[in-house]
Amino acid sequence: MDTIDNLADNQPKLVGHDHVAQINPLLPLRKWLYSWLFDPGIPGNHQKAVDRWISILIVANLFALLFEHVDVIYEANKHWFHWFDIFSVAIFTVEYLVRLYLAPEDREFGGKKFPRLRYISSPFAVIDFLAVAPFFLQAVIAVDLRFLRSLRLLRILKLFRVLIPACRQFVKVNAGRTFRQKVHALVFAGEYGGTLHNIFDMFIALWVVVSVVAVVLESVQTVHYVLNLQFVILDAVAVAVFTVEYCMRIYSCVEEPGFQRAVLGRFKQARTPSVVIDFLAILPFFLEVFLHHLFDLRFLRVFRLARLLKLTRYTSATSTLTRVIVREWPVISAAAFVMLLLVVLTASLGYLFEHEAQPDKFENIPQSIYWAVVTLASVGYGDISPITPAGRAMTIILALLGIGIFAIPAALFSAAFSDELTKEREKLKRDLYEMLADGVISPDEAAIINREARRLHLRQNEVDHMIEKARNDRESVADLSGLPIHRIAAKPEHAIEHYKALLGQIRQLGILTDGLQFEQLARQADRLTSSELALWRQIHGNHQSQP
Amino acid sequence: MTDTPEQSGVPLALAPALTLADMSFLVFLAAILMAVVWLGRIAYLEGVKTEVTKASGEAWVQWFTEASPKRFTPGFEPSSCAGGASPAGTNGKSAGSDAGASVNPVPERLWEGCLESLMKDVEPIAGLRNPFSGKPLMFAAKCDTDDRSLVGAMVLEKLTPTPPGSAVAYTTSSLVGADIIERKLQLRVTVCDKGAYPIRIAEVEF
Repeated sequence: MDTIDNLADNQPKLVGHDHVAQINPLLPLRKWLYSWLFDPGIPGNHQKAVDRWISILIVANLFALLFEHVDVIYEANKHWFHWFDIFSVAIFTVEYLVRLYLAPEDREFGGKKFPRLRYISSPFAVIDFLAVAPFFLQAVIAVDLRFLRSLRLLRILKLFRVLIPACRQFVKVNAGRTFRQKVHALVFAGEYGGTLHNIFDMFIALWVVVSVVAVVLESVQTVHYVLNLQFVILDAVAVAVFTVEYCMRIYSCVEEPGFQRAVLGRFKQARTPSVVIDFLAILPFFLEVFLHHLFDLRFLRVFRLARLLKLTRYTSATSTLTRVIVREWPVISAAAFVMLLLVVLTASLGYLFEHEAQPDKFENIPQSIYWAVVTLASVGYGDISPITPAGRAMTIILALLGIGIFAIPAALFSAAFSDELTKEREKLKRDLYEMLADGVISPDEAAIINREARRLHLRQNEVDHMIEKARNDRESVADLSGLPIHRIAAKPEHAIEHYKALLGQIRQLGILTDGLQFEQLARQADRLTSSELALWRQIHGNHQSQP
Repeated sequence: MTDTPEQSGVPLALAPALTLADMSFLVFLAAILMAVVWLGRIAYLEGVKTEVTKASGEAWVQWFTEASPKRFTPGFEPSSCAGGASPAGTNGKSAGSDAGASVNPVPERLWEGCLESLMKDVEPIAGLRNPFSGKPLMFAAKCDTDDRSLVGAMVLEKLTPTPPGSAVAYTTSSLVGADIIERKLQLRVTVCDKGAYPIRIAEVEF
């Protein structure tokens, strides 16, 4: 069995460890470069990073292409678009040429005749070529700009280099599973989702960001004036994406523990906060289209910003916040009560002192509440201020009180957040301690550690430190006799402890057993050598009988 | 944790056929997508109508901009929109409304006459229509979200400079038919969108 010390040699990948690729620097350049850049079989090399950055560049190209169709933007930034196009083509061309050079090292083409020719005719290489060909084509042949732009759409096809392997992995892992289970694997985080689930999540997150940015920009009149139709199209596409996601989530949620019942389970899922947010993200679109003839529903557009809340699904911050609020609720409610009391009291006193002097500003107590909150919260807009000596004196006292009273909830939240994070880290430490009971971190345990480490935003060195500490804690209290002898022998301090424990056991044995019979048997049947017997006597002193 | 088939080395099984529920879901999903496309198309067409309204406003701005330097030169057409002192009989109405009007027999050029000529003879303004109602372009004093009849309407406002030292640089008032247009005017062109919200097109000199 693997032990804790063997972890480094035979370990499952832990957070941060995956970027240390073991590539022999003495390999031939081409093989080394392939291993370093493109080999999907070497964990920790730059293959994923290359795919990720190329994907980002493709998406950026897509956006550039969209904005090029807006004359106002294109005409003002023509040079930037041109240089970005050149930059993209340069990167894509370099990628194509490097892949062509390294084709003989690729398992798919290496070992066959004319590997580079085979690479050129492979679907991925054809797509890569089509992505850059129009750029070079225009240098030779006069091509219509619109036609050229449409050809540049082919760059999107490069995403298949990432998508197709992910789909293949998904199909393989989900073979034999039902359609609904596959939908569930795609939409919900789990062991069957794989890379395709991550891509799905990234796709949704991208659309959330794009649609929220669009909503924000829509409020800028000059931008909205120019991009009105583009915003309409963008919103419709975003709603289509989010609607499909919502339907998939509701349909497949019955595969999720706790939601198995066909109707009630789905209803229960629909009531969960994250799914309610999903629903709110698409609702304004349908309401506005259906009802805009009857009512002015423009105010609903601001609710599209709720889409930003969809991102909370991918972070634990909101659940931590909820836990903090629930845990600290008695103290928070007490602080809120004191604040409320102080606000009403301040507003009443403000009205009492200032009403006669400023009847327009301190007309009544409800109106004075605005002034009270602004004063107690140390905001102090200055649009309403006391002018009577009594009013000013009271304001001095209340402003000082306000600093303390209003700071209480902030301090509470801060402490509670910190405490919650510490608790979660302590829990992870305890889990690590339990995991190391057998001295090894299994792949399942590594998956749990990785998930928790990402959730708690722990860096590699922090995880390493926690594992090391848990290991030391366990070893310091563990019964060393339960460990293999080579593990004990690995550390002299452990060996000494073990030796002492064994001596103690031998002494106990000598006390509890009949010493005369022991010696007779040992001598008669030659069960112990003379040196073994001498050692026994030495351990037990000379009170035992002599031969 | 359950092993995936890949991890456990279990032979890959054939995918089960789609159940009735699966197919119903797919049909529902397709229907929903079609509904989104349909609604998106409606929203797009509404957006196009707003674009047409904006284009109408821009056409007016363009005409004002082009006409502004020329209308004070002799022979400007339409003559009812020309600037400077008007020759007798150009406009049907006399300038003065007070008792002194009888002393000055020369009638002044009014926006009413200019607008009539523009809507009748000057392209492309003459052919402009309200894309929301399909009727000829309508002018309003201001966009009012409570009045749905103003959707797609056009608002022309006259900007009058205030004396130096005033809190605001100019005051705005609706350009009405009785406004004299013989002097240079500072105008603001606004159109009302599908919710009768104002979309400011431009401020021009006329």
